[in-house]
Order: sequence, then structure tokens, then C-alpha cells
Amino acid sequence: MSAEDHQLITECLQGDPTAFGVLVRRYQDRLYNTVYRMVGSTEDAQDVVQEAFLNAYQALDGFKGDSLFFTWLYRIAVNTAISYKRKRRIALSLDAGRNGDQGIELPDPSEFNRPGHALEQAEQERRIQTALNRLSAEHRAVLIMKDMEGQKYEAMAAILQVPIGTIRSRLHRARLELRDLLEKDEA
Amino acid sequence: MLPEQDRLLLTAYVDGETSARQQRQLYKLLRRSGEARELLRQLKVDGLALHELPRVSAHPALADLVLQAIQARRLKPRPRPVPVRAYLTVWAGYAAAAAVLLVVCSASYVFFSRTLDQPTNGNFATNGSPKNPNKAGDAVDLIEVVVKDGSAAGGPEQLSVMPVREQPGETTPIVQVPSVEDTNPFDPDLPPEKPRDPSVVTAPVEMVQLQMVDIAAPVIVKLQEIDQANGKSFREELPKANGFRIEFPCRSGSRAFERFAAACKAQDVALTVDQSATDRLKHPHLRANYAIYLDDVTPEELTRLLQQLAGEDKKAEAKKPVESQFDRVVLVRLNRRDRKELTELLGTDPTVKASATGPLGTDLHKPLSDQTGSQIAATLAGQGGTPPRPDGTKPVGKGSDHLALAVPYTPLRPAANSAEVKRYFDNRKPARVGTLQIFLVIRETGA
Repeated sequence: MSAEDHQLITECLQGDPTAFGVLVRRYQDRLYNTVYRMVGSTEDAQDVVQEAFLNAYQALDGFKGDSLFFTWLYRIAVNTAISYKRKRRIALSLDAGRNGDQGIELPDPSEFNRPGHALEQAEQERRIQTALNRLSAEHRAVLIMKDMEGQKYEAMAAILQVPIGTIRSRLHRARLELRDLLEKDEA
Repeated sequence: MLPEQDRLLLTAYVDGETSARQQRQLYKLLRRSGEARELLRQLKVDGLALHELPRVSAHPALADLVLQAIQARRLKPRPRPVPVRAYLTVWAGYAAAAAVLLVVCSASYVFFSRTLDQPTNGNFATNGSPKNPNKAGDAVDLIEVVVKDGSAAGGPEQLSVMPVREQPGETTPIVQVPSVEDTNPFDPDLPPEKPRDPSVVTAPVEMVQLQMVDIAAPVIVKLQEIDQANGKSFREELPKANGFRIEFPCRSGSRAFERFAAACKAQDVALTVDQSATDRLKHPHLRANYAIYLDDVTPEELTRLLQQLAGEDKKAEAKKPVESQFDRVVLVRLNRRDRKELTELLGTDPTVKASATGPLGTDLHKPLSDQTGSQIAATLAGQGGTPPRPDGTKPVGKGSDHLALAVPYTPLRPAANSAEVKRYFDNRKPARVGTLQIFLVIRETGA
């Protein structure tokens, strides 16, 4: 853990919540990106990240400092997102068709000078995100952690608090399931 | 189709987590199988596509929202929990396991002893078998009939086997069950057999009692047509139950909420807004849903409030068509799940509290004597003990006690126990007879 993070955590524990604001600004983008890909919409990602930070703030005294502060935050955010998706699974069936939002960001404006390319990229992103949304929360989490964040098996096992063998088998099933979904989409 | 082992090897390779031995196996596999090569290529493409997904950033106001939520909910870092495990010694685990084992064994013993004790000794017959072969070598089938041996009366019952010859051309009954009233065929002096327990003959059958369930279909009408002929189904549904959930799909949650607040103000409904909802309203560009709880309103008052809301929406639409927020509303009767959701959002079930008071403000949870005492004291002081009977049919006038509570509709972050929620519950008055409990949800759909 960096000395600066340690200092900010100490200040938080001494009753200064503004120090926590500095920590939030430092890590919010990295967490938000992962959570956004896991929950699939900007509004839900906003809620989950905010909730993860609030949970982290309340559990700050339990942070032992034996890992990076970001790893600890990341674990809280990923687990919050997984439990959120589990809760939402039932509600989604009621909302199906009512909410057309797919949570897809607009293509990068810098690509507007090549509109065809930008459209292709947006379409590719839509396909991947739609397929991701159809995976279970556990499978989605391992794929995002591995392919987007480049985490190792050991780190993923520590974050999700499951054995390495479970991570290996989840990734295996997740990759094959994603392939099936993309193949069906192509067909 | 590749075997699972080979596919596992391929995905492990894409993960970059193969050992040297696994890599050698993989190269062999790739040399001999075109299918494996194709699958590996596709898996790599998928992994790359995931890796190349654009990175999205959080809204700059996120940190401020987190800090506001910390203040609004008065959160503090919790002290580190003491691990309970340290106090448990090893023997405690063994003792717990032994206790569980003992309970399971005892329960099994009781269960099986009762099951096996069921009497099974009735008259029955088995098909002839060569256990007791006919020594004379007759071609006639031999039937072994097992009957109760009546000679053993007073002692344990014994079974005896009697050979019966079947005459050619004659049908032998498979089971011979004597009548209850019959005397004992082997010794007329002995009393007849007791009637057998029917459960011996047939296994107990669980009785299922079907119940009638009243299911009301949701009513969907256009907000603008609530007071017209098309809204008749909506108006007719309201008196049929005492609680409803009303869903308002809208374009922008925050703008729709502001419109609802304006309608409340015009109808003299005091709307208490939770701090986190107020924070959300400061960022109207962020998507937001809101939940509003309102009770002690008659169907007519509710209809007027919704007409007012429709009017506010129409006024905005007249200025700019895209400003119209509402289209259809969905009305469903409040069910157990809605009540649970309300409890999670507000920290307590408001519908229970509202129904716990009588029409004259009598708190049903308090002993009658307490209230009578206070009423007498108030009367002696010249204030009168009983408030005037409220009339639910009259329109709400100025200074009305109508209260509503608004919180963000986010299942993850309930506003339970916030200062505004507490204030709302503290200020609530007993509900009038015939009034409704309403759970409104303003849900942003963006469409």
C-alpha cells in the first residue's frame, strides 16, 4: 500500500471523510469501468460503485494493509456488482421490454472522421456487451477481470475468495459460453 | 466436437496459464486437429474483443455523491469485528458434530420405528411355488394360502401355510378376506378378528386443500385520460382495495419527479424528500428513479392528484413537446412483495403502521385504559377528548395533513432511517377510514 493511501486512510479513521473523497477520486474510474461492464448500464454502475465506496468506508477499519488498497476496494466492488446482478435477475424479467437502455456509450468522437469505422466499433461493442449481459454474474466477472483487467488466476481467486481451480473452470465455461452466444448472434 | 480435456487446454492457453507440459500437449493437439485450431483462433478473437472494449469513466460528481451520502446517512467506519473463532476450541467443534449426529440418529430411530411398527399381518396369498411340492405329482396347481393361526390366541400370532388344491375348471380367489362379523373359522369359540386398520391396506394419502386466490390484473391507462372515459377502469379499480402500486414510466426521472412535486404542492400534499433524493435531483442528467409513499388519501383525492400531474405535464408539453414526461400509468394492487420492498426502502412497513390505528385516531397497540385516561384529562382541561370524525369524501383544503415521502428508488441504497424518513413517520397522523395506501414509482425509461 502506498504511503499516501495509508495517510488518507488514517485521516478517514480519525473522522475526516474528505480524505475518503480523495481516495474515491483516485480510484473511481478504474472501478467504474469494471463495474459498468459487469452490470451493463451506466445508472446501475453508478449505484453499485457508490454503494461499494460506502461499504468500503464503513469497513475501513478492517482493512489490514496486507494488500493494495485498490485490490481491497476492487474486491468489494466486484462482490457488490455480483450480488446486485443476482438481485436484479428476477426484477429484469418484469422490466423486460420496458427499458430499452443497453448501457452502450457513444463511439469516440475522434473517430467521426471515419464514420464507417466508428459504426463498426460501436456494433462490435454492442455485440460483446449484449453477450456479456447474458452470462451469469460469476462468469462475467472472471472474463472481465481476466481479459479487461489482465488479472492472474491467483489475484482473481483472492478477490472472489474462491479456489484457483474454481477460477479456472469458471473461465473455461465462460469463454465457451461467450463463444456460443457470439456465434448465435452472428448467425 | 473436441473432448472437454482438449477444450480446457485451449481456454487455459488463452488465459496464459499453461505449464510447459501443457503447452507441449497443446502443440500436439493443434498439429493434429483443425477444429482445435479454429476454436483457439475464435477464443483469441473473443478475448481481444473484450480487451479492446473502450474504457468508460465515472461521472466527475461521483465523489461528491459519495461524500453527501456519507453525511446524509451519518456513516462512520465500523470498528474491526473481533473474530469469534478465536474463542472456540477444537473440542467445541467435536461436541457440535456429536450433538448433530445424536439428533439425526434419534430422529431416524423414531421415524423408522414408527414406520416399521405398522401391522402388515393380514391374509394374503402367494402364487404356488415349489416350496411345498405335491408329492402325488398331480397336475393341479398348488396354492399356498397364508392365514392367521387362531389356535395361538393369547400368545404371539403365528402364520401357517395350508395347501389348497385347485380343481380343474375352477377359479381360485387370490385373496380371501373374511368378514369382520364372521366367527373364527378354526375355532368358533374364539372371538372374531378385530377390524383391521385401513392404513394397513393403503398407504396414507396427503390431503391437499385447494384455495381460491384472488388475482387482479394490472390496469394500464394513459395519464392524460384518467378523468375521461378511457380511464374508467382505473377509477373503478381504486375502491376495490386499500393499497396500490402505481408505476410511472417516464423520460427523465428527475424532471418527472419535479412535476410530481408541483402537483403535490397544488393539491396540498406535503412532500417530504429524502436527502439522497434531493442530491439526485441536483444532477438531472444522471438517470434516477424515485419511490413515493402516500397514504390517507381517498380514491377521489388520488384521482385529483393524478389529474393535476397530467395537467402539469400537459402545460410543459404545450411549451415544448419533448418535455412531456408521462404516457401510461400502471396500477396494481399492493401485494406482499411490494410491502417487502417498501420495508426495505424505508426501514419499516408503513402500511402496517397506518392500519394499526382506528378511525378516531385510536392506537390499537396501546391499552385502551391509557388512551381513555388521556382523553379524560384532556376533557377536564377543556380541550375535548375525541377529535372530530374525519370525512374522507370532502376535498382536501388548506392546511391539510396529507403527507407523502419520496426516496430514491434504488434497491441497493435504501433511505431507511434517514432523518427525513424519521421525520415523516413522526409527523404521520392516523389514516381515515376508506383511504388508500399508495406506493408510487417514477421509473426513468428514457423513451
